[in-house]
Amino acid sequence: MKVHYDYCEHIESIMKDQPDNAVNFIFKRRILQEMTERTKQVLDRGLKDEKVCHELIISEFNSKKVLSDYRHYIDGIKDKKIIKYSPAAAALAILASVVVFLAIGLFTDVWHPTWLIVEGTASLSAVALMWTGVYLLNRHKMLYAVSRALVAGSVMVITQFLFLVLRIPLGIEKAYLIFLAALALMFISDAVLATLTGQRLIIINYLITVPVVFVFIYVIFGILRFYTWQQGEVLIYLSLLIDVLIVVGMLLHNRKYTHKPEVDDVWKEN
Amino acid sequence: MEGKLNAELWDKMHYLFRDFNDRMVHVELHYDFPIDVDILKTVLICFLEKAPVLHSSFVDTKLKTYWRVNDYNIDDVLHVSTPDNPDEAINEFLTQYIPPESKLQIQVAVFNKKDGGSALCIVENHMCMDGGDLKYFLKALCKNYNEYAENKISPIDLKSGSRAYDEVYADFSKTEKKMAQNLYKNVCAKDNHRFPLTEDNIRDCSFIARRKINKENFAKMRKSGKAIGATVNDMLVAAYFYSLYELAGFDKSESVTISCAIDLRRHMKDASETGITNQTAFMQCNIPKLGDNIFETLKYTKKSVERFKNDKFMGLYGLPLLKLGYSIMPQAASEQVIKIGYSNPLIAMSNIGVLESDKLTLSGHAPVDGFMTGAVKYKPYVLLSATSINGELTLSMCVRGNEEDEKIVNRFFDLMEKNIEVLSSKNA
Repeated sequence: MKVHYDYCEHIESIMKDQPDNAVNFIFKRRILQEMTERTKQVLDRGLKDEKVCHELIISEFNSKKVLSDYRHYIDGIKDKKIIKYSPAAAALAILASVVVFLAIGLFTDVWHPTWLIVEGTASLSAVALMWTGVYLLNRHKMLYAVSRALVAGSVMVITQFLFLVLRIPLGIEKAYLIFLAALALMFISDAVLATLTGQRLIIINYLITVPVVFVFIYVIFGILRFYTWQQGEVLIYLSLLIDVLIVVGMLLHNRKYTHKPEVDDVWKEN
Repeated sequence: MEGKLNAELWDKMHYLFRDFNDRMVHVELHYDFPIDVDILKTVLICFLEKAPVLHSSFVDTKLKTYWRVNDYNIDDVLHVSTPDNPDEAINEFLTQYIPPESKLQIQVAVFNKKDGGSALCIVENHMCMDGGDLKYFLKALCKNYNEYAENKISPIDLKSGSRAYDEVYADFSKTEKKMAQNLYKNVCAKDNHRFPLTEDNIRDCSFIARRKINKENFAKMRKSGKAIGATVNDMLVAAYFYSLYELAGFDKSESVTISCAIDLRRHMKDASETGITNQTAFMQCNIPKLGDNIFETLKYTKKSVERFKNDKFMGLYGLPLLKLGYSIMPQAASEQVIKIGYSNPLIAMSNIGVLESDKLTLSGHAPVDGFMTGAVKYKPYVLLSATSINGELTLSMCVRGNEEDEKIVNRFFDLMEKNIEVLSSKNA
């Protein structure tokens, strides 16, 4: 095949401002391979003029596309590193905590509740892995449901550790209430995630989250006898009032962007 | 380049229209010389490579939709023949249907005629691009063909970019954009008046009825329009209304609505950065009654059209609602919900506009004739398309019907001609 354009020169000229290292070399080779394959594919589709084919491929692999692919490639490498090293780091942290736990036990003969060091480290490692997952999944809109599950899961993992801390070394009897608080926190963290990732119809999240959180607060403080159940009902009304305020605030905000056509009904005059 | 492309909002909407029309857009251009098929093949391959949606299949998994890019051979796209009866061959080609699941969404044919001329015909899926972009596609095809034929410049000058519906907001200020994105209005045609076609029948076939308004009469129409301060579009819509009342026998005191296609690219300063796509919406042109004569009908029409022209966000109502519908639910559910709120206009018009022959010239030969028309509508829906070329106006209507329907449509064209003549008499 007669080469009318040097794809290598084209790629080099686009990549001239990028560092000349082994990673970029692999990327450039990959782009060259893709361009060569595309050339063959287009010729197979019936294009007889090779010069046109080469110019077509060069226009397709323009600087915008190549540099965008390059950014994705670099991001991909970073993600792969995170995926590769995160579990190892978590395992190392857990291993270190086991060593600390054993060291304390062997030197002081105290085995309880120092095991919480291992439990806590394992919990924090699991949470770190879950949040890493959320970070990596942020680029994939379709996997938002998985991110939500990971955030909710991380709240529960932290909660079970806090429950053990409150219940065992501190001896708080009603420590189980933290699970109710965790349910409320799951709703809050879901709303925060939706806000940070710019989800559509976020207002619905807020409108659900506020009363749900207030119901949990009502129940928790009711069990703790901060107020009588009847007195606490004011919290429920307060949550509904906050919802109304959210709706009013949204309507006022949107009013700024309401378009009124100059003529509503031209046939009114008839 | 096997891969996937996003199914954009308008792709999905046109897919939803499968119950109302066949979604094909048709072009026919006649030249007085034989088109060089090898050059055309080269241009077409480059264009298909620049616009991969044209060689993709639409995939509906019920949960989501997307385009799957397919391999192809140019011989599956371009068909060349020298038929004994070119008119029959052209009609047969133009009335074909390309299913969305097909590997290719465009078909091109060159019919060589025995007198040395040729006809270039294109049928493409409206889900890929609308009449506005097909006009651009045609002009780009001719420009690239000529530059390649004359100077060997590679025919790769076709716009490529985002096909998303929200490109229409690109030139708005931040506030305007927010305002436009807040237009959650359900735009639907509520008029029950129908074009008087026969009942649906399983034996119905697609046909394209057309009527030419010759150069002289079209010039008179334009001149008259200038004299009375009406655009060609206003006059066509007024003639459409008047002919409809006459043909269907609507009560003169009844209000009737015709949905008119509007090109949303009017909101964009420069559409050359976007890919080929759909950017067409409809405005409901409504008259309160027929009026005593066609000039009164024209007055009502102008008033109704003016209302839309004065609106900064003309045609943008309902887009956020559609987007929302398709975003929050799976495909199958969103279609059902949108169908509840959407009512397809029974009577519609698309003024595709001028086919500029100087921009459709191939190797120095301007097209001697031609037209472009919209999809074949299923009864009772109708769409009147209007295009002009070389100073002649072509009215066309694509219908899936029978011989009786063809007669009715031709009777309608007779009335259109008569009424256009009356409107054109103003300056006589």
